[in-house]
Amino acid sequence: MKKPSPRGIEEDWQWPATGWSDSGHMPSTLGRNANRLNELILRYQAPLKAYLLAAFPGLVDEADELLQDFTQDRILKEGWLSKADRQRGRFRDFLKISLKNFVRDRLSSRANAPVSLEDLEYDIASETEGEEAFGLEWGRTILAEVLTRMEQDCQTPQQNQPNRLQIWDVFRLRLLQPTLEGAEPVGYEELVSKLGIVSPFAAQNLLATAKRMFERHLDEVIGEYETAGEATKVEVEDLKKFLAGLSRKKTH
Amino acid sequence: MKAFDSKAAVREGTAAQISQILDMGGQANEWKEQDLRAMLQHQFTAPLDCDLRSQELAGGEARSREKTLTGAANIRIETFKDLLTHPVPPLELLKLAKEFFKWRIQACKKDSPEWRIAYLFYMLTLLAAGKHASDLSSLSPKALLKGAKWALEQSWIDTQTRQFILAACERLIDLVSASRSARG
Repeated sequence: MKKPSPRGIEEDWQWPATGWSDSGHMPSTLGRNANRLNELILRYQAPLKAYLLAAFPGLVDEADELLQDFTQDRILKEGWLSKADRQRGRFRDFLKISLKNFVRDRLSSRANAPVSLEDLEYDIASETEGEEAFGLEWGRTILAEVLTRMEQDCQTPQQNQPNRLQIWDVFRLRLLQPTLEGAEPVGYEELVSKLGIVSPFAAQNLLATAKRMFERHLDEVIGEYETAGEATKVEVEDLKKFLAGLSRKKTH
Repeated sequence: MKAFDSKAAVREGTAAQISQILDMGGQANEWKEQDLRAMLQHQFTAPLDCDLRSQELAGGEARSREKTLTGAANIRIETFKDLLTHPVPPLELLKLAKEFFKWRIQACKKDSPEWRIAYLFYMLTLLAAGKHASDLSSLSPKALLKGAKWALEQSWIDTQTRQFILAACERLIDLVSASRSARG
């Protein structure tokens, strides 16, 4: 059977619309803003589905059902999330391992017998793919959220920064588009003429402001599932390290 | 042209691309050598007040800056080119410009394009001051000439700027000679 792509299916599938924040067992230490937890769960559905499809490729037809059951039986189960509190700095892994254990439990209860050696080997090979698919999709999810917030932020006028949109445009033209589209960054002359930037140092300030804004939003997004401060920093570094390692692996 | 949808682009992004953005692009977003020519011309035509007001000053210093900039506008010195090519550039304005470029030199990564623009304009400001350069800076004429030599070695500097530097160096050498002669 052709292995399904971890991507491309996320638009078709929606996480059950249960109000996490209304479930009455809100964790006290996971994330800084408990009201955003419902959004948080919805946001990370794509990495979980990517993991499930890559780690358990034979379950493609049941993936949606399994994820819905996982939500009901684990995420929304009282006390489940409090376990995550004990794993500070590792919410991402906690979510992934919980899903893995959930699926394995489901499979073993269904088969009612220990898995064969052949199945186990297949599982080990797929596990690495699952880890990679999950980590990459998590990185994408984080980055997409950071960029959405940053763009919105730049569209909000502020008294001391009348040309706030320029911040986003400089960031987009110099950093985002060249990186994501593999194009040459817009040259200096074209950039300043397009955006009406008054001097080289004004251009430098815009890019520096954009970078600071990006880092602030990155900390904020990660701070919603990790505790603020050191755990957030560790998570940022872990993500970077993981993605850099994955990228090296893909180029070799 | 199709608008850039960052979310859609990220959804298709590779691990290398996501990692590079999380790392702020590394060196990839620095200006290239060919951008320096455009940056130089842009700095010449940049309005003085935008750059010179960007440094945070308080109290008396801020008031003095406003007074200097208003005075400059009154005699139609509006850009750095206006200032540097003025037959008698106001010393207070040169001082303000010098302080601005010094601040940028300190803030920029050494040898980055912005650092080089800042260093060039710092030198141009001192050279434009002629015999008053010592009122603006403690740099010796020898150090000034060394800075001018650095500027002349930059491939991105245009002919007009080159001529300006050479003429200023000649004046500087004459001044040093005259000063030596006067001392006997």
